[in-house]
Amino acid sequence: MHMANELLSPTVAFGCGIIAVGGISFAAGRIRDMADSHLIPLMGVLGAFVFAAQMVNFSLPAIAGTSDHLIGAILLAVLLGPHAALITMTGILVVQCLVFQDGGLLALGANIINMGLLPAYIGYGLWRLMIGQGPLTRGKLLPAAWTAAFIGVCLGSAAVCVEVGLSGRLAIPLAKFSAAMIGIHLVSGAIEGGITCAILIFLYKLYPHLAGTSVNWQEKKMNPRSLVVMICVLAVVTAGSFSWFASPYADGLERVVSAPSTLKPKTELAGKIDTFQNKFTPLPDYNKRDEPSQKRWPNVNFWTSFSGLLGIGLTMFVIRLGAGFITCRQKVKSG
Amino acid sequence: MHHHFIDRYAREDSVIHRLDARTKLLTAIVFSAYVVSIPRYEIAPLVPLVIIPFTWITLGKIPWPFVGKHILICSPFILTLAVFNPLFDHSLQHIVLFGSRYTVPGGFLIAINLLVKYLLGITCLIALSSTTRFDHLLLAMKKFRVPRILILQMYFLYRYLFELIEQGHEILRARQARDVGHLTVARRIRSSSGMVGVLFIRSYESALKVFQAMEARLYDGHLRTVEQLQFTRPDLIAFIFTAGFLFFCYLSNT
Amino acid sequence: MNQSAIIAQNVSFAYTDGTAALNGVDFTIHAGEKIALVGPNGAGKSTLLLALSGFVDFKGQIEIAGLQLNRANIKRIRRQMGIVFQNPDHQLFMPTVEEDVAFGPMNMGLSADEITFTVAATLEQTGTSQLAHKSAHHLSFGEKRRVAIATVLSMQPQILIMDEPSSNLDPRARRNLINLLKSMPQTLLIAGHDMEMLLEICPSTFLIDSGKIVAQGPTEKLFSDKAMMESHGLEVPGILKSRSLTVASL
Repeated sequence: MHMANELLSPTVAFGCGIIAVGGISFAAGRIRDMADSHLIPLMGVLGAFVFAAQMVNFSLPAIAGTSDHLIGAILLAVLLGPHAALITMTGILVVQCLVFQDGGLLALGANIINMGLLPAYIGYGLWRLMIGQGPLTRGKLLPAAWTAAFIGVCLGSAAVCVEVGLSGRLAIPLAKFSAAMIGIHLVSGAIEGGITCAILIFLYKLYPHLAGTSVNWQEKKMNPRSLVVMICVLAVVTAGSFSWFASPYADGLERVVSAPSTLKPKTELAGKIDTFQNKFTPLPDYNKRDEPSQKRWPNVNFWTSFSGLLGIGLTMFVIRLGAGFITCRQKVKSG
Repeated sequence: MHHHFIDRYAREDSVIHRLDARTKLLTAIVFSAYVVSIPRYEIAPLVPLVIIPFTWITLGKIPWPFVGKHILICSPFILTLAVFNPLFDHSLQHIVLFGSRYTVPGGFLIAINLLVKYLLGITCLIALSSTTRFDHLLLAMKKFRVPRILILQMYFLYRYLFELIEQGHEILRARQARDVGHLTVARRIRSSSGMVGVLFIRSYESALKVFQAMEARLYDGHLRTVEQLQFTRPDLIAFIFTAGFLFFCYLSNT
Repeated sequence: MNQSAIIAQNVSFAYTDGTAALNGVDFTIHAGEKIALVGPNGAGKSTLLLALSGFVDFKGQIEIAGLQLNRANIKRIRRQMGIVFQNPDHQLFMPTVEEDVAFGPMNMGLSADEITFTVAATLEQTGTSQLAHKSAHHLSFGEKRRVAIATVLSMQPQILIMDEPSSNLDPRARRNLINLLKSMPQTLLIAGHDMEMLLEICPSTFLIDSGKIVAQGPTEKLFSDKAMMESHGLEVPGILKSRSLTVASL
């Protein structure tokens, strides 16, 4: 998911840089007092591990010819807290950029947002939401860790699409790019979720004090709160992404097939104006690509997605009612 | 600790190596920003920019095969991205080549634009990391007010990374030594997860011990160094040259 | 002057799983003394050293250089007492030897000139001046050991505690180390298994087993007590066997 400089326009790169710097200052301020604590060795070692893990590219099972790698931000957020996780991820990304030339120098801001800020904070928020209070059980940990990791990765990839879209540096239509990008990351997000769970279980067994709360491995029952959140999240993602995929691919195919006939050669004057525009417009020009069959991304299939979500929402409501019924009846039976 | 790949040349000596790390870091940033700001259908303005990374690498005495190999390793993604552009952008653009005017599909121009920009950017980064010690880069960042905790994190990350790789090699060797021919893929995978686990435990425990050693020597959260960065005359010359050159390029484009 | 350097009173410590590492340790070490700490593996030697340097949450009292060992005093105590750990790799974490040796003095707030002087003097004392600009990880094990000692000596502590300083050293490096330790004026507490070295350097010994000091006294006498040595998992060192001293129980 490391972005290269060329994907971004200077404005977007700069804007992302500002946001990233803001986030880092905030996080650094929050952990200022902890700089002398034993969090440092853990941050260092985990940083090195996540770094090494990111170097391992795995080819994705569902989509031929693509490979992706782990991000690890959510794992770090669960173990270190979101602030230390952001600092650790930033360290990793900077070292990758400066020492290993992985990811562009100017794209650092964007990369920090996509692979640091968003997954660490939102992933952590989801994690805490799902594990609730009390001792940590296997039933709580597994769904929480998996969902947090999955969402974190997907959010990061969605952010890439937003940044690329705003920059307008690619000729590849945004919808197609997004479909590929987010599609790939749905799969790698699922894998990351699984690996995050496995690692957390391993570490908490070895070093229970890292959990910050007591750990009860015997308890395997999934807690209802986790279940609800997980279903919501999965439903939203599924509904949204499937409906998004349907149209762009059709659009894209349509375009490629009919392209030669819809294309009108530009007059020389129009060509000159185009070149002039290219040179001096600081912001990307959305009207450049004026082929009629292509639709623009944020508006694409909004209603399709929305109706999908509505349908799912209704279904979940019914399920909830049903579950409530069943619990009530069980209570009556045992009580 | 043998960094036999990336940092190989960072501790050598040359005119460039002796420059202040801040100069080099700033040059890399400004250069990258300028490269990225070139619009996507322009190829000509990119060409003279080659001078800067070229000078950097030549004066820094970095072998070109090393640079070339590095570029190849990092390139697959951008190559893919570049290659797809001509499929989508069929607008026709005019370019002037050696005095005559040609009409070229826009996507083709974008592909070349992307590739050239990428080459410029990555060569610049390779030059930076091969002529600057990492701890000096950190010092430069400290001067640029990067938060202390982040500097610390990068310092430890850098240090532990190579140690991790060495320990990983050791563990792999230990497994190899016991491989008499029956190490199936399944067994390899299963033992790998155990190995990673052991690797982690070893690393974490030694990290704790290093931290103890630091605390025993009164470490208080501030990583102080004997080394100091210093601006010297060559830095001024480098700055004037780079800034002047970029400004000249900018002027000749408008 | 015979003031005490280290006083331990009823020091105890148990791990989270319940095993007791230290079980009521009592002793007094006077300034200038060189004491050997011997015992079988698992007796609590390393844990005791960690407790003395403030890395373990122990029960009981420890007084170092007249200061109670607690959170408030720990920094002042660490200026007076240095600890050399068993693994030199854990103590060499700066890019060059010079910077590692300067680490302690820098944290103590010495001026640049004082630091330069102290570093040079310490490197000289440990015979490692020629290694000043080398990266710590390109050194031989013996060199690393000596540099690790230098990193602590540069803080000029009054007391030095060491964990197995001669393990894994080749004969020449070991001899150099013994000569260095013999020449140091500091109070020394050395934990280890190298009985011959301890005989040479330390006039007195504490024998620890199962977290308690079970015997203390003149080194030669203690090491020659076959019954005592063997009942605590140790052996009479070869050099003493030939002298065949028999000692009444202490």
